[in-house]
Amino acid sequence: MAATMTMNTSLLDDDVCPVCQTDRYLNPQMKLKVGPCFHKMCENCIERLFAHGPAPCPTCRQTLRKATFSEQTFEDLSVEKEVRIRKQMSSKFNKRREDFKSLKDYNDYLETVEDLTFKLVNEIDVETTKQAIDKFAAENRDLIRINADRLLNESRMATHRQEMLRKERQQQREAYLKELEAEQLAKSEDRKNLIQELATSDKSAKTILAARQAISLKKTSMRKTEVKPTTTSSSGSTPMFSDSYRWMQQNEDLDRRQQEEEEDQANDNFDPVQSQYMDVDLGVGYVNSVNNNKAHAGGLVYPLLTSSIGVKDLYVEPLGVGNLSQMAKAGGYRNAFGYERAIEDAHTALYVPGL
Amino acid sequence: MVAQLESTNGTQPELASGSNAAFASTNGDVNGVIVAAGGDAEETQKETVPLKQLYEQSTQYNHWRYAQQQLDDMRNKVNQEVVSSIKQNLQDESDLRTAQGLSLDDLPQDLRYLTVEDELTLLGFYERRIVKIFQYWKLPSYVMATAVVYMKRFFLENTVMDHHPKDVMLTCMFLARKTENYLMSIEDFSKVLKSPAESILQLEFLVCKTLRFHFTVHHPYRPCLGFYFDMQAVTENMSKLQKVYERALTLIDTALHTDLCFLYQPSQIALATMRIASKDEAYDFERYAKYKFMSNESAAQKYNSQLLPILEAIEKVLKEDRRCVEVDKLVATEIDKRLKMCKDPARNPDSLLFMKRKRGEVAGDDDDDDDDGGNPDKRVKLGDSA
Repeated sequence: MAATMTMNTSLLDDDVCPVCQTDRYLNPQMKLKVGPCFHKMCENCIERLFAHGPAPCPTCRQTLRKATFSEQTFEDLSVEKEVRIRKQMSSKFNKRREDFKSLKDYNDYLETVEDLTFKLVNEIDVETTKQAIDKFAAENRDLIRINADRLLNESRMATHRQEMLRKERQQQREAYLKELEAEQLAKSEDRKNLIQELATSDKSAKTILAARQAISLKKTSMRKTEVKPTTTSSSGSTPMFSDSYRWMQQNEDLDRRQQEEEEDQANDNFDPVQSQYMDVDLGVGYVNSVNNNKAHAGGLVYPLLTSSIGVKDLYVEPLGVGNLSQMAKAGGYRNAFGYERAIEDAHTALYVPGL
Repeated sequence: MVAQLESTNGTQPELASGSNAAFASTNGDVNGVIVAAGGDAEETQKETVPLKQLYEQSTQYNHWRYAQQQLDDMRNKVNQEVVSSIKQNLQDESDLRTAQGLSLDDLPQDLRYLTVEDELTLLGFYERRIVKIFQYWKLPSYVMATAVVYMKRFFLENTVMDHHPKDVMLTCMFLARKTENYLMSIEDFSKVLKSPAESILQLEFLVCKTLRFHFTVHHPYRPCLGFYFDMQAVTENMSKLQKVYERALTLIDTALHTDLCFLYQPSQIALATMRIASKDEAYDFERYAKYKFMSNESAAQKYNSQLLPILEAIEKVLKEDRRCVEVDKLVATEIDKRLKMCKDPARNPDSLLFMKRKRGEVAGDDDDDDDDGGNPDKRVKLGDSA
């Protein structure tokens, strides 16, 4: 919505209908619409030309109808054209990753779709491309339908979920408001009773007040322990709806279980610090760090020298290399990072034979 | 792991298959195991999935490794293709001229086309020009090395007769400054190098395309530093080690002009240069080799059979390859003169052939002249590039 609004304001000034040459001065409400051949026309012209059925477009002579004209959403006509083509393509080419055995097949499929789209957009071999598309659509009719249904289901579920969330929030709010009201009522009741007692009983004011206080304390502590169970009970109100939407719930459960399974597998194997790659075998002189069993020191790995010949804690830098600047040190950079990187680079691919 | 490699090596499957088995077993000799973080006993069996080697994911490893024979073949092939296409075009041009009754005088006769040898000499000359200019700029050596490697990779698939190495040199330098994060704007660049900006920018996309957009290049400089650190474990005389390191760096700079970057890994080149430098500076390399690579029987056997032959081969190349020596300017000028004569008429805008081709293009008739290896003017459609 915002896009069309900004677009309209930017096009306001120099709009001229290419057919009748009226501009916005002559017709302040002029709106240009775009046809399937992507030529613009103001609404009056459309009315005039196509009132009696299909007629040729004044610019390119293609036969058009009044209904095929639509509002322009993009300033650039080529973008408009491409979007329209892609929308049509996506209704036919809606296969998903799960339909393919390997990632490579999926990528190949996507690439062929892109190829066809490109050809259509740039009007290369339009006939052969259209034939190829139709052939594909015929071959995969069932799968297309299944996927279209799936998409529909998903969008339905998404809106339903949103509805549920909204309703839940509303309910919670109402419950909260009710509670507040009840509390206020109770308070005013209390005060009324207190005044009654003070007015009518024989005991002294002090004893009455003390008794009141003790009761009120007990009440607040009880209420606190009560609060926790009530919050859980409010979310339990959704099962009320599950009966009518059981078909949706079943699907959702299935998907969720699948997702959870995948997540479990991924979670069990996933360690954010661990590298996906095998460690470089640094050989003699270092803690054997193959397979990520490095000596970790707060996430850093210091190359540990175990040689008895000339044990050194740090390395001597070559001459001409200055010390680290203050800024680098403050940023957390240490010389050890540089040493580690250089030594790892020195041992990478050392035994790879030439071709 | 093997399957993974074959899919990434889609372009050169014949290279990958042979060496897969070799380094699947050599490096580490252990398969990585994915450890279950806090796994329960009842959970399903965790599979042993071998971890991948990081260097195997680099484009330099996957796409820019060749055997010497392959390099020679590629260069010969490109050279012959261009020579035959130029001959064909010259023939066409002379035919056109005779048809129109124009003189054939200014067409070169009996051309001595450039051989692969000449091309490499000329390229070596221009590579060293790159080195000199970067020395003036005082940037780290890997930026210069990247520019040189770009140029070498570019001329694996093109010849100097198609694109003059001077233009390609400037473009590679400009590109290398960008990719290695020492960007210089095109205005400053063309001013400093006294060269028009358009020619550099025109070639830029072609160079990127020929490089297949593989901009990251790994050089032996950091591995050399790594070995310098590593050797400190067995060194008492640090000043000698320092000299060895500096000598090794200069050797790496000369190695840059040979084909070593295509044949071997940067760490191997670095170790080889340290070995040669130790010999020159009378540093005991064998002591380090024993400590590092021959700590037990099996490791020694592995070193002697796998690593040592590579180090010796690299040493041989550095001793014997002509390109390690500076190219004489006179020789280069002579080759350049011959290059100017080899101008492809299809590229000369004044020639009849060019105009005929252009008219054919505009009229839209299908060009079936792919026998000339692709008209160089049509090869890259830049569109409305900047």
